[in-house]
Amino acid sequence: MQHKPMVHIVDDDDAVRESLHMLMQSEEIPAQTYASAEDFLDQHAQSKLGCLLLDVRMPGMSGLQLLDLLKKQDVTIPVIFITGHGDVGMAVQAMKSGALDFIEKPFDSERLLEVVNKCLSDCVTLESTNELRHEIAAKMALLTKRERQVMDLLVEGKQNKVVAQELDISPRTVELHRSKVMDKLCAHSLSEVVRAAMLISEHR
Amino acid sequence: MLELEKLSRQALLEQVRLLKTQLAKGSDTSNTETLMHDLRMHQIELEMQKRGLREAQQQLEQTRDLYAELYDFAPVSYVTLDEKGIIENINLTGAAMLGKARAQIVGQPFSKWIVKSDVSRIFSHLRTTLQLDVKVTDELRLRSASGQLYEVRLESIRSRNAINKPFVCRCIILDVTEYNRAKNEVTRQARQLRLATDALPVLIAYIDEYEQHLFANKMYTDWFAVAFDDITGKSLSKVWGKNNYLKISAHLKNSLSGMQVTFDMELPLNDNQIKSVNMTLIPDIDTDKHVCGVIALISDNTDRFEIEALDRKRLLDAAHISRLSSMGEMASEIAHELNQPLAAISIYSDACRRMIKSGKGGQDSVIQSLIDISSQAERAGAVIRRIREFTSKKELSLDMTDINELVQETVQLLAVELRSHNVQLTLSLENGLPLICVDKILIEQVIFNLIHNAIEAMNSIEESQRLLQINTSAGGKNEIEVSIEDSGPGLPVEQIKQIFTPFHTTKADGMGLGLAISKSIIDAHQGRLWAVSNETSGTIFSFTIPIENLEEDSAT
Repeated sequence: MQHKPMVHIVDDDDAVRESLHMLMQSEEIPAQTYASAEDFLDQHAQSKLGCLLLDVRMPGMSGLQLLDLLKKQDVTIPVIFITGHGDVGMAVQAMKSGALDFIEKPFDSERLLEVVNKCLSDCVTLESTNELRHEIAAKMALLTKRERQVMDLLVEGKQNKVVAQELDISPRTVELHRSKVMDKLCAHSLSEVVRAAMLISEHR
Repeated sequence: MLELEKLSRQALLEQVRLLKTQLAKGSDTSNTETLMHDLRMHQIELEMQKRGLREAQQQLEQTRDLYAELYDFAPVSYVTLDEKGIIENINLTGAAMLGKARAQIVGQPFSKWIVKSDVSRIFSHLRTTLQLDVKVTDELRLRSASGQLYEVRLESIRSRNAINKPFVCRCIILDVTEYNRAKNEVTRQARQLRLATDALPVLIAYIDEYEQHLFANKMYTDWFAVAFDDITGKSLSKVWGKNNYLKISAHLKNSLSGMQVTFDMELPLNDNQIKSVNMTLIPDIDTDKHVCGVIALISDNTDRFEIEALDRKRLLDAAHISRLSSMGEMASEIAHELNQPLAAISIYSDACRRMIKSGKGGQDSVIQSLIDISSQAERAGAVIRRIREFTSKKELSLDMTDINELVQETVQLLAVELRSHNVQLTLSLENGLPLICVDKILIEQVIFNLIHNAIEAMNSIEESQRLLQINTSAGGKNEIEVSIEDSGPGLPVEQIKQIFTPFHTTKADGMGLGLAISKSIIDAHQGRLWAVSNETSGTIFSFTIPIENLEEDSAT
């Protein structure tokens, strides 16, 4: 069992933590829970296999701080962040810090399991990532110059209103551009746009 | 012949007896002799009559002198005027009043001493007196020779010196200067009292021991719609109306037995207004310890109550707006706090669905998940309830409250903020504190503001150094004290003085109302709110709330 890949769930909220544990159990995915980043650091030494499901906001050491620390220790466990709904800034920061992905609360269980399974089945290869990048790059190429500008600003976590001001266009136009961007990238939410943008930018 | 004049009465009577016997003996004597005898007898009798008359005259003269003395030295002035108003006679008192010797006065017109404007009145007085056979009275002013002014009352009747003589006017002159002065003084005092009592914003009345009004000021008569001049002698029950009278009759009885009483009451008036009044009854006790009546003082508190209610409403409104704005500032924290249970619910229910669908996991796990779901729903509900209560707008409602419960409830409301700012909280709540009578939401708002400020004050320091300590204790005498201590950088002394002023803020996004409203809230609860700061160990905000003395409360 020691060597079996496992999901490490780090969240200070008992209910969220336990519910994630239950979800993993329902899919028979081995999982271990920790109430804080510190707890994880204390206990995870035996097994660095699997993936880390990490809450961004926690008292004491935050999720991002833990990620930095792991990087410094050369621990390469893939990290999936849990962020609050609409917390784009935090999501961007997480991706920039090297998170594999992020997932918003409340959860879309399907997507969560998909991401987790992907991690665990070790399909996060350089190759598949590259393939994905190509795919996204192809979609991005379809964006007009203005759409691209709008997307970049949104990905920085700026609100429609602010984007409108900076580009000197109306908020309504920003909304139009935004929905075009989402159409062209086949994204269902702003989070997906962020994710795509981050994958591309890492490569650039 | 004997000198009859020189004989005594007894000797004269003896002479008469002798003559009578001589006459009887000498009946045969001549006629001349008889005649001589008769004459002699007449002479003697005449002498006796003459003496009687003289005595009578002497007595009369004595009486006359007595009357003259009385006339002259009587303490009132007498003057006799003829039909032209010339002074025929005047007593010494009168002469002294006019300031001249009697001889210089008699024969002068009386009008000479009368003040010019009253001269016509003396003549009409004289005319009336001479025409009518009654006593005529008048008041006028006269001036003595030395210039002294007298106010006098004339009381005159007509009289004749002799049957054939014309009527004269006999007149008593009474000096009423002092009397009038005293009378004027009384009137003046009464007028001043009236002026003063009418100007006072209270109702004043004097009620005698028979419960009748002797005096009332204008406000009193206005309120009870009684004509100002009619109030004297009117009974209390009539002026107040039966129902109002019944409300105060017991108090009145107490006051009439010598007690001073004060009480509040609602006083419906004729014009359908209802006044909130405070009434004080002060017994008027004379030197024999007899209660002659009571002075009733009534002050109108209706406006004051209205102003107080208005002030209270303003504070409640401001506090409400401030709570709403606090919640607005916390929107993302609230969203996050709600997100936790919602996320858990969503995952649990997905897990359940999967377990049931796949048949894995077993019934126990499913049941446990369902239990967890419902407790998470309750958790979300509790968050919403707390916020809703905190932001609700209610009338002021005072309840006996456990301060420690209130602190814990407030901490719950701020749990997410505390967590997201990584603040380490220590609660040091004294056990067994007495309950305090407060508006829960308002005091919760104060604690909320103080914790919220403390959290913000610590933004600039290292996360690991952010310490928040909340203490409750029995403070001074009859009060409880709550203090909120942060480990922030502290406030300079100049700023401490200003922090409670409205619109003073050190924050970029704040309104600067939180502390000002908190202070108003604590003031309204008769407590104190203050801050102590030094630049090494942060700031301590403390407030006290007095412990209500319930016995005292129920007594008033």
